[in-house]
Amino acid sequence: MHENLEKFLEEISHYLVGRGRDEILAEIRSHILEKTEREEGRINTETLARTIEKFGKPRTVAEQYAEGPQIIAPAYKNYLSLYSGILMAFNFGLLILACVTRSTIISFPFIFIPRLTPLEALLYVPVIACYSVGLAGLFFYYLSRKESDLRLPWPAFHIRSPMDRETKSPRFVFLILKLAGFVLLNLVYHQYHSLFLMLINQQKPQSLLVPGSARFYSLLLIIAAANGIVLYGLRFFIRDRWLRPFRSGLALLVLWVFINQPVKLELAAGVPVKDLLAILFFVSLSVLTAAAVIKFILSLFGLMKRNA
Amino acid sequence: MKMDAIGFESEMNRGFLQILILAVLEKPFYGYGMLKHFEEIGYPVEENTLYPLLRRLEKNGWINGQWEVSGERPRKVYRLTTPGKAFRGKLFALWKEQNKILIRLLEDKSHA
Repeated sequence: MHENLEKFLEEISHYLVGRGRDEILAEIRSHILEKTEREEGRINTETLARTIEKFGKPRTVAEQYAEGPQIIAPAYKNYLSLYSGILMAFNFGLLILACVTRSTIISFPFIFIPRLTPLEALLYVPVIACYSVGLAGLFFYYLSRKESDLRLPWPAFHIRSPMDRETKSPRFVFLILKLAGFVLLNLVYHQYHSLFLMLINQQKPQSLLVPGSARFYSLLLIIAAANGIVLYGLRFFIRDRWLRPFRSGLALLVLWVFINQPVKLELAAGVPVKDLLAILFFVSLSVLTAAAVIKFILSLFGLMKRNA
Repeated sequence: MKMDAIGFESEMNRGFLQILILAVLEKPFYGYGMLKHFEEIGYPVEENTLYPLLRRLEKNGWINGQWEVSGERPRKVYRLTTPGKAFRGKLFALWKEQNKILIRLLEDKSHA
């Protein structure tokens, strides 16, 4: 019994997968002993250590034996990202619903969302992310093991030409960031019943607008944000050239509602420097409108150019 | 870039080593003996490259390994199987064909 040799073999065994582990180790043992005896003259701890060092690191040795199907077949990589994303978006939706309606949601076999406060809901977001990736991962692990030629649904993208630089591919990370921002907006609204807040003397944030105005314009902003996210998410499935002008048009519509003020935009009592705020509001609204008009015209121009 | 070159080289060597193993197994060999034989014919091979390849060929049924315990210590001795012989014939034919194409290309280039 040679302690350093057995220790080396045991370490290799940690990394070996599949059947025939004992036989692989027996062959390596036989090889190392024979090589040491022939090339070093005798077998002892020092001579064995030299042969073992030349043989390689345990993990590298074991990796050479790795074969067969991978945990998730490389061909399913894109499917895994897409399906995890869809599941995550679905579960995010359920989380917001559970939070707004203050109820427990069970969506078997997908997820169980208990009744949560806005802060708890925020802490639940990583659970949802891990759960979605894990569930999709399990599904693709099963498919990879089965080695079946199953054709899964896949959005019908048209193949992009390298010359087609107008439509940038949507990025999954941006969708997640947008969703996170949307969750945050909802949480703020849920907490303060307004998205227009001011902080005076570092006290609790207060609404800049009277309750009626705050509710209407906050919800308008939330709808605008939801519109942005839905249309961005749609770009994963639809590469329609009308999508961009449509998005800009909707943004313009929201601004038009702001400008027309169907509900009077009224500042709350106790708001300091009302005149300055009114000017700031007017300037930012003008800038936003100008930007939206330019964006809309550019998107129409791009559409016409492509149709030509 | 350098890593890519190493990857291509080891991929090529791996393919060649498989043909070489099938070629030398005209007579039985055990792992260490085979390594020494490769060294003698001028193609030294790393031990942790040879053993996994032997195992893969054995799994495919082209070679057969049997433990012999008659000597000082047990050794796994490999022999070519009947399907292995047929497979070896196919590989040799393929290699000859590829070699012929490459030589023809190189000759054309030197004449150009």
